[in-house]
Amino acid sequence: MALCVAVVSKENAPKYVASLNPEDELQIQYEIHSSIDFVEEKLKTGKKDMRELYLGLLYSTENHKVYGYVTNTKVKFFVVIDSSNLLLRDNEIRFMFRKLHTAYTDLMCNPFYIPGDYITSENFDKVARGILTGNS
Amino acid sequence: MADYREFDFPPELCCSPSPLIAVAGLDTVNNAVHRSIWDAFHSPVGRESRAVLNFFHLTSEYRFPATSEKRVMPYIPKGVLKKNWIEKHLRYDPAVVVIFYDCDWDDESWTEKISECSSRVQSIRLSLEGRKSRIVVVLIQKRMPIPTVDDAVTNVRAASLCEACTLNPKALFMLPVVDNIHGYAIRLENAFYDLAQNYYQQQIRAVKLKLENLSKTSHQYLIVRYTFKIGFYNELKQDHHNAHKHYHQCYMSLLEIRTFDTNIYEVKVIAAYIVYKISRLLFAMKRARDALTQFNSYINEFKLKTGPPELLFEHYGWLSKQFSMFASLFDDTTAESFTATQALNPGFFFKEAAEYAKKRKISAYEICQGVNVYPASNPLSEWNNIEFYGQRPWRLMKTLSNVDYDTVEADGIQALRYFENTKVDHSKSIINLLGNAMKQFKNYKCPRMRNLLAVQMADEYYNAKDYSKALTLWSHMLWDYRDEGWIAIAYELVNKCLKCAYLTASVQNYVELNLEALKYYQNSDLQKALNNIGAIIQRQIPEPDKELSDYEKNIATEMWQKCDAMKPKSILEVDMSVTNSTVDTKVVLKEVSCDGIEFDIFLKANFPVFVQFYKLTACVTCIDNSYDVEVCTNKNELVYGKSKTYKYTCKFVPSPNDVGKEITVNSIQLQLGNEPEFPIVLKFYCSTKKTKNFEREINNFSLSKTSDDEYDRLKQITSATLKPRSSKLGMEIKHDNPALLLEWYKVSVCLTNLENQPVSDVCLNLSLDRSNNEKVELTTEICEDTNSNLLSLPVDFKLDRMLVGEQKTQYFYIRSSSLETRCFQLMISYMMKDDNETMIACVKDVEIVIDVVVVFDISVTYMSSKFEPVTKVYMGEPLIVMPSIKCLSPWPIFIENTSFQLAEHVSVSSGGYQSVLNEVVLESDEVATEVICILPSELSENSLGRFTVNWKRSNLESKSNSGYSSLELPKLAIEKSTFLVDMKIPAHGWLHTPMSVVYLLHNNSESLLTLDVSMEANEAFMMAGHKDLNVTVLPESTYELHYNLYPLVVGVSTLPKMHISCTSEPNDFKNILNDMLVRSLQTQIYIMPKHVPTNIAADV
Repeated sequence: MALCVAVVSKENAPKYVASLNPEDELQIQYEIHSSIDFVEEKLKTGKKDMRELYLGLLYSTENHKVYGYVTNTKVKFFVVIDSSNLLLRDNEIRFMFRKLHTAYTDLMCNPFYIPGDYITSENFDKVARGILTGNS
Repeated sequence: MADYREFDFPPELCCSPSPLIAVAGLDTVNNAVHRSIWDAFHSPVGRESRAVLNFFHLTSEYRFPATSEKRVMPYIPKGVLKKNWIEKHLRYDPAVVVIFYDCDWDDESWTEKISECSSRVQSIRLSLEGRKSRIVVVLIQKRMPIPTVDDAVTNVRAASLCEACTLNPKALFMLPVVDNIHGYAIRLENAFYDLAQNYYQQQIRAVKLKLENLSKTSHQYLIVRYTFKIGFYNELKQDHHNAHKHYHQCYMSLLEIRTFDTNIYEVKVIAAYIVYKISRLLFAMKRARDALTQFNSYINEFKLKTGPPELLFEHYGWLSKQFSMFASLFDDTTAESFTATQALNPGFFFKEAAEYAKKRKISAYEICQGVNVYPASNPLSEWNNIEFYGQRPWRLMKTLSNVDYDTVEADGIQALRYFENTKVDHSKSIINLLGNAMKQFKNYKCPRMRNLLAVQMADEYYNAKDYSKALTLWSHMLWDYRDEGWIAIAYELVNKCLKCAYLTASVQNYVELNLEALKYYQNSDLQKALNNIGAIIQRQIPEPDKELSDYEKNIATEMWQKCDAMKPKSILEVDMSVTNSTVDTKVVLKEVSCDGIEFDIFLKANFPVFVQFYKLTACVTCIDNSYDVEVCTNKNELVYGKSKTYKYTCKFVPSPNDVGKEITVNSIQLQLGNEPEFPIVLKFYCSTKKTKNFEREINNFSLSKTSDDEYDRLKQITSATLKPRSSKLGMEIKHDNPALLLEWYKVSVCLTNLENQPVSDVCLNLSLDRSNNEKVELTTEICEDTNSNLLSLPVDFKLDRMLVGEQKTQYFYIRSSSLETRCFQLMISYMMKDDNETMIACVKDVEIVIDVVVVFDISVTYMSSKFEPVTKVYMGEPLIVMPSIKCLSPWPIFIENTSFQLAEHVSVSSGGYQSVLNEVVLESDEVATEVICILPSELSENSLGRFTVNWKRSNLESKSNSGYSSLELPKLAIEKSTFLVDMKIPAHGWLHTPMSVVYLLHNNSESLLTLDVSMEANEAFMMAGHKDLNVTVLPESTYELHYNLYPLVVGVSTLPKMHISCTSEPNDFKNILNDMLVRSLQTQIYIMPKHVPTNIAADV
């Protein structure tokens, strides 16, 4: 369903990137990286509702659409979908992010994970892969 | 063919049209007046509020463009929009023709003037050939004043002129030549503008008339053409709203035209022009959002109309142009109004334009590859002479010669492909567009988007074989991505950069990038990078990247061979502050003193195999001096392998000249390879902060304390001040803290030279620490001797030379007038010779803390003559002032003397004043009381005076200067009384011994006082004197009443009570009288027992 799922730390360094097609990954990373501009801008102007973590569509190119989500600790989640995929609605994207956030929270609860390290958790990876393939 | 230009927006389309006004009869070259008129029309003064008009000179040589032949309407045209039409109306077909003519109303040769003028008008009218342009005559008036409208002569003359020229009277104007014709020019402009509006409205009506006869099915071209014309006329009229409406209609009718391969290009070109006009108008009307919507729907509509597949590149070129034009428009019009946002700014359109430019390049490469022959029939030769916008030049030829249609078409396409293949510089246009987009994203604060575009730009440079530019761009982007931790991207960029560096044979960059690459590479790649660095050291050509083609490799190899960069230079320095490699260093200064500077160098290295370095040196700098310190030259200690931190310690002795200056470890050099090879020196600058080093979010949670962690935790210390040699001078500071407020507080500093050399230039510098309170300096006084002048802080006391063992003492006094604690810095500096006979400076710093306390707490009480507290006093009535002094000082205080400084309206009473506290010593918390009786002699609200105590510490020798405490006596109301009473009575009486009492009644007023005095007798006394008496007291005089009292009892006895009432004065005087009696008259007296008779006689 999604092409790529990424977690970016509050310092804007990638902490987890998983993509459906490895050959696209670099291009998508470039796009996610440039989307950080828009996330930063949105964070700077201040959100009205602190509980609304979903940022919506950040950036779209001919092939990809980048959606963003930012936690209260400024950890950013990105989901990239194919521009031609018209089946996915806003609600479904939100649902993906919520799942991702839950998985991330679980990961943080793990005492063996050091916050700030690159994410290598199998569980998290499973959830992310599930979002990519759409059968979660 | 040579100058064939692909699809573009013609300038006449991109300008904003304004009504065209032709001006005749102005000789601007020879006639100053005419020149000034012309200039007035073009002056920029008040441009915003003035009508926008486009003036041009109508000379006698001027020929209006031929009017189009009258056709039977409607007809089938050969194209949509004629190329010359817009320009014709912008430049050649005036809306108004203005004829200037020098003629005064009262000219003698009026008739001749009329005929000359009318002939001019006629000739111009002829040359217009039936155009509807308005004709206007402006008479330039040289004579003043201008005749009024009512003037009969002028009216007649004006009428005759109009008749002669067959002119509407409203089209006749006068322009007086005055100093400032600006106002007249504006009025004329407005008149011209109105006429122009009128003219264009008429044109619109005419076109609309034609439009009505057309049918939607068969005359689509004409409908588009006519609606476009209406839109354009409206634009000339400055009617944006209607112009937009008609352009929009025009666009809609254009969409209805069926497209084929033959006309698709024309439709696209026209659509581009119309949409450009629409967007422009919408932006001008501040409807940016509508413009964007319109543009998006337009692109969606036309994106798929690719046209013939063999000309696909042309479609992409066209799309790219659309985006870039729209982006420029967006940029131009939003520059002031800020309607663009970060998420929606012109940059996106430039970016999209660049995307299409790239697609064009790709499709051009696919389609046009190998098309290297231009067709002999020269199909593009006529490109500039086509009648209609967007038509193919070769179709024109077809009508001329009888060539086969398909051949011509094929030739034409071949020509275009040839042109595309050989003449178009795709990379340049892509780079330009990307550059524009980057500029926009920079403005709208999207640094990362800009990075992405820069990478793409570098890609294009690389494709265009401009490797050095690509290298520069990529390497800068590499730093940005690397610093944010985007390893995958950085890895790709390193690879790209390495290729460029290899292809440009740039040794410096090549080495830097290989070092950088060590961070990302693994296994064989990493080994290769190391080998390549090794090859450079050995002055050999490194192994090329395997992705490069043989051709590129050959060229690069040649360049490497030619490259003499490495030959003359003996070493290669690599600045590691921009390179992020697997080697890193940190410096910690441990000790910085004259005896030696010691520092640790921590070196973290991670190599898959052991790498041999040769030398580790450090460069330590002072302001104008630098030391090159060899830290380690032992080869065995400089072999680095898998991740480990190494520590080196180094010490050296600095030059004594650098004392007091800042010492900085500037850089650390690690040398790879040794002479006579080509050693590479890795130079680590310590001061520059390297890449953002993300600290672990929760460092303490890390599982194992690896050496990496320790290294990361190290805090660099790279600079320190070289302190002077610490002093061995003995120093003793004596003072009795706390100081008392306002005393001269003595401090003594005793210095002993304990050095083994005589010292010179000894100087004590005393300064006050003002960090806590700025004002403390204002309330602090210093002197060296209490009799000498005050000194200002900071103070230097010069003691000059001291021999070995010599002792010197310096005194100074401090007086504080506020209670803050004072911190003084005492710095002793001196010069001495060190072992090498060079003079060195030594300093010693001491802090002196002085608290300040209050000496006395003085309070004052006022009492009446009866020692009763009073709140007010009457003039002339005695008042007792009793200051009581409480000693708060921790030391015994010796009171030298006390004194009163009485105010002018107060005098000491007849008894005089004698201080009772002179030379009294007060211990802590003891209280002493002083007393004085005073007489207020005048009415006043002011203070009664001051009370001052001069004191000093009791343990000080007598000559020392005393301190003083002073208190302003509190205020007391002094009132005037018209009547005062007083009595004279002995201090005590004796039993059965008569005593005399005198009552004194004072009349202080200026009138007669008549008083009833009565004495109330009691059991304690027998009384002789008037019991009831009516007395009259004269003004300003005193009446005395004498009584003899005979005491009957012993002890405290109540005296007979006196009552006074007044008959002559008003009622409230009675109260005053009673009050006066109560406070002034004694009520009791002590009677002693019977006395020895000898003394009785004396008493009586």
